[in-house]
Amino acid sequence: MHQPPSAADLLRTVAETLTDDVVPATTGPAQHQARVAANIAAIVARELELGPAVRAHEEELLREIGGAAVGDASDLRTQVATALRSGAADTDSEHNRVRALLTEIVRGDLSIAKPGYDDWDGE
Amino acid sequence: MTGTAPKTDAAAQLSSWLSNAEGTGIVVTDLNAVSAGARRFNALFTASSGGTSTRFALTMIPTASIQLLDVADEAAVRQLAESAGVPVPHIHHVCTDESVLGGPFFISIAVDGETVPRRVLRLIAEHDRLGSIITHQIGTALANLHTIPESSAPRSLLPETGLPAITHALSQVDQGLSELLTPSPAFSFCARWLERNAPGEPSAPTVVHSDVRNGNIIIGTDGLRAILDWEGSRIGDRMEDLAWTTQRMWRFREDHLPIGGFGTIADLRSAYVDHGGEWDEERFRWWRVLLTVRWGLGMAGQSRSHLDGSFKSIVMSASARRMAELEFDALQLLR
Repeated sequence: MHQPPSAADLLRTVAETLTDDVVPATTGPAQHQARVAANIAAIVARELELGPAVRAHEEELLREIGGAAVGDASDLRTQVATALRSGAADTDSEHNRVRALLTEIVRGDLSIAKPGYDDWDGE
Repeated sequence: MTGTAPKTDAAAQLSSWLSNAEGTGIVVTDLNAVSAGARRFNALFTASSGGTSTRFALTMIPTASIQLLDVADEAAVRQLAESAGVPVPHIHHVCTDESVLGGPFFISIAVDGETVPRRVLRLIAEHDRLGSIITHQIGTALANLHTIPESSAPRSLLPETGLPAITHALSQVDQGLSELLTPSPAFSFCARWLERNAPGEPSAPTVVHSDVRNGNIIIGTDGLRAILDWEGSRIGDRMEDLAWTTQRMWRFREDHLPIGGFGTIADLRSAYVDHGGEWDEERFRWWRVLLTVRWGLGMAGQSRSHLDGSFKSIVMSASARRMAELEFDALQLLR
């Protein structure tokens, strides 16, 4: 087992270096690419730390959506997606219940990809 | 970006081509790129003849890139729009000869003003009521654009599937879902809703711009000066154009103002209706959901192009991670 810093710490350092040093020293497409690279490094850092818990919670939520009909965890997402596409949540009550659970799943993805995006509660 | 810029002697080539086209000596100077995307190269230049100088904009489509719309057809649509009262930079020349600059191009008058979204929002913030004025002008421009009947538009504007607008849009969603590398339960849920709540096909399809938003408009302190980027024009459902202006992506964090971060739907609707546009609220909502889903699926598609090597780009590599934003937006619309 290696000494700290952790992989996430190292990626945050990469992101900081790109943002603080490379972005100000570049222009045009290279500057844009440096910004994007910093953002990607920050996403991966969050994924390393939050990913396992987010995926586990997603699995629980998918089971809650799918109910007794869903089986093996390996293609849980496929099963739920297929069921929803073919009308498993057509009634008003199912629509509202499933919509709330799906939003909860997406909030998990956003906590990694774009924290704060779900603070806005409008349309 | 290699391969997208025109030939290095572009100013000289353009001088001789313009002199020939106008039958008088014209000298092109100050040719500067303003943006060079994968699909188009945009530049501004000065054309001098006799003692007068005029600023023009050059739009060149690199030969190797995919053209959404033939330049001649794009120019024809812009001229139709201009005649219908839509503010567009007037086109002076169209050249389909690819040997001049390395791709077909057109030349339009340069319109001063702000186009970069954050600068647009800054200017609007500094001027009371300007956001509302521009929103009204967009609503008016779209009402005018939508008076152009299907029959007068170039045939290449019809959907490639040959399907009517609503059916075509639904088929694109299912196509996008089937191409995902990992399924999206959120978008599958939305696709079902879209199918069950689909409006009828538009009774009078019109020309739609399909990308009117903060980023494709030129504004000044006097308001809207021009609508840009007509390469996505199609024949379709008028409510699509109105719905697209409300995408959260085009608000640049000014989430409370749905039209580009500077205007309200009420302002857009009243201008559209006051200028003869038929507003259909249910259809508007349906298109808002559809466009959000389609854009999210498009994001995933960008990452697939990076992964399979057909378009390697760090920007596109992470696009699929943005899909969650569109999933969230679509689910918010379905409350």
